[in-house]
Amino acid sequence: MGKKALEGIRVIDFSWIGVGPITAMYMGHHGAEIIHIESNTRHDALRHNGPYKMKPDGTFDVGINKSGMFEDNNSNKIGCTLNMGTPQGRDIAKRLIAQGDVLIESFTPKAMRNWGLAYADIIQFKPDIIMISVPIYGQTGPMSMQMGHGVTTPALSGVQYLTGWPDRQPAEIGIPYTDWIAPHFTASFIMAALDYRMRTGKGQYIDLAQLQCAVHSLQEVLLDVSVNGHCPERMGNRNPYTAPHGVYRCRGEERWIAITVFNHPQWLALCKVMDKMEWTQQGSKFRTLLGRLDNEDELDTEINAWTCLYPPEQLMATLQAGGVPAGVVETTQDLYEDPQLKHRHQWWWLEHAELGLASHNSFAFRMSKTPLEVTTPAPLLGEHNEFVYRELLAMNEEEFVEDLVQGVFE
Amino acid sequence: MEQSDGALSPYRVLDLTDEKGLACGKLLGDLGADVIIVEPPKGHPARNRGPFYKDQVHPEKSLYWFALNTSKRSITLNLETKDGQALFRDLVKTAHFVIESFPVGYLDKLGLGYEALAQIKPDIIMTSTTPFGSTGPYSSYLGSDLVCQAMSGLVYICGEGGRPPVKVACDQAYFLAGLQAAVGSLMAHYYRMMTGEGQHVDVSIQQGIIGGMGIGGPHEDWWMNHNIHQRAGIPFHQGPVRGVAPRQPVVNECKDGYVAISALRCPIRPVLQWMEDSGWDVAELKKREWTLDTIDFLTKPERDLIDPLVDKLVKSKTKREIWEGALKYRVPWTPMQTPADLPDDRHLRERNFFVPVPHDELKDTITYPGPPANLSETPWRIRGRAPRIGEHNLEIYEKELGLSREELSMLKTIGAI
Repeated sequence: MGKKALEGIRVIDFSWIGVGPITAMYMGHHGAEIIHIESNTRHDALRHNGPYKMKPDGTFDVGINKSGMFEDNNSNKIGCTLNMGTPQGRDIAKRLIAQGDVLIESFTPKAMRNWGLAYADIIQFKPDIIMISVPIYGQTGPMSMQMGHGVTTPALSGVQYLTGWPDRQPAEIGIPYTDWIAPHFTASFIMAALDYRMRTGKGQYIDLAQLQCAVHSLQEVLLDVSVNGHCPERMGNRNPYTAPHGVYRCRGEERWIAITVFNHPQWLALCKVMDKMEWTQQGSKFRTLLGRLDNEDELDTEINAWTCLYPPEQLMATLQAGGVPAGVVETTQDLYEDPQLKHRHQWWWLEHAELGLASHNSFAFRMSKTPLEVTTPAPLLGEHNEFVYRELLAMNEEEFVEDLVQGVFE
Repeated sequence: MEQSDGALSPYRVLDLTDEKGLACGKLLGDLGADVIIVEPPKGHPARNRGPFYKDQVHPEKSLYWFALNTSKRSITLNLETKDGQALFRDLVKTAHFVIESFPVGYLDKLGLGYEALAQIKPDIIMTSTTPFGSTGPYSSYLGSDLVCQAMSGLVYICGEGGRPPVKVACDQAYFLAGLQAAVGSLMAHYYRMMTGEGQHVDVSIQQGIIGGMGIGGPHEDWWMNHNIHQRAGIPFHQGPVRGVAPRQPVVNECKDGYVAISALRCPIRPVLQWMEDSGWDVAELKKREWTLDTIDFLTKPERDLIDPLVDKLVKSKTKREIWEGALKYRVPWTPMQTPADLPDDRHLRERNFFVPVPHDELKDTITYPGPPANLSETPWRIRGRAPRIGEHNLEIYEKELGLSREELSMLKTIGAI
């Protein structure tokens, strides 16, 4: 293993499902030590969500350590179970937090309070902790006690309303998309807070709302609302400022290519590749950008008639060689065959005790001196209890066994 | 620009990005860093992008520019002139981060790539955001937000069968890449604080979305089962406790718009209570023993029973009634808000999410989305509106770098600034 950017940071992770665990994994891939705390009575809910592997008889090989979604969001972590319903469990949690730099949690506000683990409680024994709460709605406001998740947050944030076709209802996005927005904010805030702590000795509390992160992804749209009173509508794949800009059918079943043209050279390049130089001549309705925007349906029909003759990979290679931004609408299978993603080491295959060889996703950037590494699969439920309690907390055998028998590690 | 009280206040960022990475500098700036956006003398290309303030098409009135350049200062600088390059090198000596999104190799050709800058400022962190990353077979490919979304797998699963795949609205790929450039920069910075070493951070916009394919199952379902997810919403996967739960579309029509109805972890009894309180006779259903008490884990026959009733309940309510009912009965359903609904969102208002930002140059104040989080010691804060073209030339070139008025006027004449 090479040098890692975040070596020496310990993250105590009480969070579950998406945003919290992804944030912790972000740091884990870059060398921080992540202690993911669950309990036998309250598993990380992703363990109950597949996909699971399908068995030859068509049924699924389900099990608490066999969820693909849990696997994908929890690599490079140490996992332990702790029964927070017991006084000993809560005491152990405090001892763990005292050894941590960062504490992540994603419950609705009352859970940590009820355990005596609100920020105000924690700074009594760990004054410089950086604590971040990452629920959907944050710590205050009428919805703060409401359970939420990434399936509905895209709707609440306005992102989903704008996604899809103008003549249809808003589109189904296919993943709980906003779960993937918040972790970059959370990780940035934690890193900034760590820097501040290094310089001043002060920790802090971060009250994050996933919803607020999601709203930021609308970028200029909210200013258009507040200044101009405009509310944009769904536009499919179109862009109000340029054409062509779309997804076109290719040869084969459900094969598609995205083609976008942003300036005149790219337009000329597209016409050249399509062998439609007449579109650049006087008299063609497609010659100017305004002409193309006015006749976009017809233009798209023409492009579709051309693209459907070829497989998307061939089109992408030809269009890119000619100078047109174009890309295959990749399926998950395509992602695994994408030579660029192979080159970038997007997937990390690791041996997992119950799943066998399992693939793991990685993050978007590569650092020249401290590249990320995915080294361990997601922890089995309670896999590292002994390490966490005997080694990290230095419990003696007697104490460990007693707690074990009393169900503290349940 | 107001004084910085943010976590990153000691640090200077030189922002050379275009639309692909503007969100990075915004985040670092709103966290307190001194972000200087370096514009070509005629102004940054993103200024030409609409929508515009009161629909007045003008490079100083682009709302797109406003949205992504808060808490930044601006200088003009022509990196393609020798004098401009020399000036940039002087600036690098004062900086902690350089963020850029030029085509791969462009800065190297100008003698301003990472290796060259590290000669001048050994611990500099340079973060490059490009469509596919700075090395590899597609590194010279042209990207756009749609092309990068398409090549990440997201577009293929978005939309509905029978129609082409469709992108997620707004420049999500660029936005996510910008955020990840900020994370990478800050992680590299932590390492620099520990070791004194800078480095190059290489962000791929395509990869910036793929992590999201691991939530909701499309990625895992491929490597586990060679099952390619299609455009059919988020499948609720079989749990270990019960069999396969049928999928229910998230998007549902209600009386005056759309709502998002999630079966995921949605308790059934409060939904039945809601039906009863709406005047329906659900006595039989309330008496019934359900296999589990959340809708996503019900069996297929149970879902066949409950789903049409949920559909009917939703259709009889307005967005506001769904919002209120969801709170009252504690079910994870939400209205599908339009962007125009957001400024009135009671939750966001109560959290003081929207903030007024003075635009002295327009004699106006504009409402912006505010803190994604409340940081107790070091607030995320918009310290000032987006800068005008070269607004801080004098402040930075004269006061901070110590150039004379004569030198500045000469640099302007030769087109360097």
